Amino acid sequence: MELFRIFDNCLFVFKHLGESKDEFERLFDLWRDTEYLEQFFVDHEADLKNGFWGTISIEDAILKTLSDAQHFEEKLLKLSAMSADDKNKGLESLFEPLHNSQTHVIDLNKSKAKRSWLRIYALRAEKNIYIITGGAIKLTANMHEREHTNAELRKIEQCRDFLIEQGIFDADGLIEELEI
Amino acid sequence: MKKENILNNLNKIASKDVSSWLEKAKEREANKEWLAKSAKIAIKILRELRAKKLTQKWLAEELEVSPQYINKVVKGQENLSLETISKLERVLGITLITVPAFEASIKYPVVYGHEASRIARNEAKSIATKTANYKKYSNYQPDKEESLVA
Repeated sequence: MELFRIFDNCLFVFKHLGESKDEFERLFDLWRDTEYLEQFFVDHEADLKNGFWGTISIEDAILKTLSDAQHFEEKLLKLSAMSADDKNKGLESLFEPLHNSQTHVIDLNKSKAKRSWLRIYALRAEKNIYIITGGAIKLTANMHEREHTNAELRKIEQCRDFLIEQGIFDADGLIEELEI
Repeated sequence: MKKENILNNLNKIASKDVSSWLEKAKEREANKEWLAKSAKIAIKILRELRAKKLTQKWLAEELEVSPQYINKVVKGQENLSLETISKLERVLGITLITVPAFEASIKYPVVYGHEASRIARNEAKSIATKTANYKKYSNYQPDKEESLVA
């Protein structure tokens, strides 16, 4: 597992073992890849029919993802060009706690940035410092419902453990998150 | 743990290289217009291949191009030429792009017959125009010459 900087000292990203790209590069490449998206939505066609997002054709689901990914990326590009102060504010408004029921932020808080059904998962190292662990196209209400989103939950845990093992954080000082 | 300490610790284990995402995102942003068109064409090709149970390898052979080139096309990453689009349309038997029907118009002033009626209309202006419609020519196809006949 490797750690890369995305921009400045505020946004970092993991590159997982066996992957040729870091998670940020990998996700945005996939969300712009029509071949990948067509196969993904064929595999998850059942979720596009009367699912969490209503009913949508495979063709429209691909177009929606391409459009959402483009807007998501544009927002992040703008953020990368901002002043340090604006960047910090932007990051804090971009990410929110992973669990909707969470009322206060803790160290290494599991977080998410979202645009429609696109998700970027991260750990909040400190105020204005986030480390991307992965991301997914989330078609269901709950992450546990599908294997690809369930795998993202495991990745967040692995990244959290890695940071503690590396001594980035003091394990004793961390409060465990309550997953409601 | 203080923020400075956390940052120092992160920088100790972080690679010297930065993520390649930023450069790629800038490139996608600069090329977004044609990439959007390329993606729409790719979706049509992919859905047609799946519906007809055909492979990318078959398509590459039909077009006499490499499978790698076809893979780039179906990923929506290729800046396609009109020649390649036309070949894809012929091989797959589908339309991938259309050019909107054009309307060439010339305005003809419609003049009152005031001279004939001997009514003086100083600085009289036309109150209507007539538009010539050439839409029928927009359906021109090289192998259907009869489509040019009005």
